[in-house]
Amino acid sequence: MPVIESEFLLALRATDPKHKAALSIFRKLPDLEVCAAAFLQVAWLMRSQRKGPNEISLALSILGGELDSQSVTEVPLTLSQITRAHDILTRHAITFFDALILANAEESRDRRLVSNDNVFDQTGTVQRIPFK
Amino acid sequence: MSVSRIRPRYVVTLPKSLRRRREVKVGDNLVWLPLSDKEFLAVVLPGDRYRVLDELMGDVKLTHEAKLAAEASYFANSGKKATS
Repeated sequence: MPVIESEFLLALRATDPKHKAALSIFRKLPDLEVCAAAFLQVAWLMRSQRKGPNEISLALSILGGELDSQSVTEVPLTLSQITRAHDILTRHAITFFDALILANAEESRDRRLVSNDNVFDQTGTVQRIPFK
Repeated sequence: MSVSRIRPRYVVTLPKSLRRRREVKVGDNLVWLPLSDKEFLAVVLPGDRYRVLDELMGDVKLTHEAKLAAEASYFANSGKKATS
């Protein structure tokens, strides 16, 4: 199952330049997964860019509901992912949440990650599916 | 508490007390999450949800620098009460 990350979640905004591409991913890849780290990263981005707790909570609820209605499976954060993420952090210049997302994709069955960000190519362990 | 009867084809009317709430309107979707055999959680998904997401986080940036700043600011504010 391909894994979606924060960029995809933000692309669900109506005026995001990649909005239509994200919706077409829903149609093309019906068996998507999303990792909890992607929601955490979006929440942290919002918080650091002066969004209030209520706005963050509402945005996450809408994102969660949308993904649920599109039958996207939510993958919880596991000890194994955290361990793997720290291993990635020792070898690559990558942010903590990107490492968690990468760890999640590495542990998924077919090791595919829906993203335009080539930071995820550093390890060479996942196949990236760009959307534009 | 309000009670709704499940009618043929499993149609249910939202109770008036809920319809009066500003967050719920015709055209919205309900996402049903099963909690147990007899319990569901219904999450209101606005019909124009992509537009609502745009209003909530239209200006949120996802650059490498923004990711670094997010992680730094969150840990820096750890233990402090979040303010609106």
